[in-house]
Amino acid sequence: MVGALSVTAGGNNCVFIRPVFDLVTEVLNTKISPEAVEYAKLRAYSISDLYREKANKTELLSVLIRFTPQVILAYSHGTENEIIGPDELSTIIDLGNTVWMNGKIVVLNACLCGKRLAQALVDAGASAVFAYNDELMIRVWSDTYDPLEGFKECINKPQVIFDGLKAKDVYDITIEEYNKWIEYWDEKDPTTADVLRHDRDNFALYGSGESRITFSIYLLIGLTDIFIITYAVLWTILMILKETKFLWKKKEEIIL
Amino acid sequence: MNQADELKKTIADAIRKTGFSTMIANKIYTSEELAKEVENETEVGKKIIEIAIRGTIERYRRAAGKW
Repeated sequence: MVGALSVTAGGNNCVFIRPVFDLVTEVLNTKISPEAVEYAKLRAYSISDLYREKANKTELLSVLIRFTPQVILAYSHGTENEIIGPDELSTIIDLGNTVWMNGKIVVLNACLCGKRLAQALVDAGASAVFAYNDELMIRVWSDTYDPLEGFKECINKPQVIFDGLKAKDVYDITIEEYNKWIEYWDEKDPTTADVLRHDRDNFALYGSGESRITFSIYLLIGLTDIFIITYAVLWTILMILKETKFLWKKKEEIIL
Repeated sequence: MNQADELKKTIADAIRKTGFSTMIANKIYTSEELAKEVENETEVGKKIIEIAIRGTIERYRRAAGKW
């Protein structure tokens, strides 16, 4: 049973790539991405969180071999050809390891990756890739560096992929989220609305819009295991109560 | 002041007014720094001017019911 449960974890694994090596990546991965990690956790996904120095190629390859993640989400700096991490001189995803993403849904929350890397990932077999074609701009409060209302919500919106939605629906929902916050900021501060507009217009979906997370057979096995364990525990409690019934009765009589 | 300078000044003033910082690429610009980028028409400044113009067009379109 334990074995089956661990297989369940692997079959429903998702990978978060969250390096921290400067102020921007710190904001990104301490104030924005944790919400998406939590979102996946709440939906019973097993998380491989490549956080800080763990966001390197060796760890990524190890996770890809040990588990079979269906989704990979990266939050870092990016260029046309690569995702940077775990430090500013290294890359974790680039044109040289695109094949690692074969069959996966990839979300690249980084600058410029939509220009070349996203299509290269699709060409190498990724089923769908969400990426930004230009710089991803984020407005923050000057004192705390907390993102202004709407930025975290929009950047993290592709997390609805964990609900089993199709990639094209995830894209539409994300654009809707951007539009909602653009309208909100148009009233308060048009400059912030314009920055959101820029992000929205550069957010793109590559690959198949029909891609979605498939409901893993291992999850069914896992749920069956949980059901059996719960049944066994409840049955045992019931039996204990039944067997000790006379003791309870005696106690009641004594009290009377 | 010609129209281009007036546009730059208007956008820079709007950025200064709110006081928010902006993360662009690998830097966090304070409102003052970003306003300076706009006034000096640097690469980042030009981009901000461009998105302000596009935003204004979209706002007008929406107001005209064409969005």
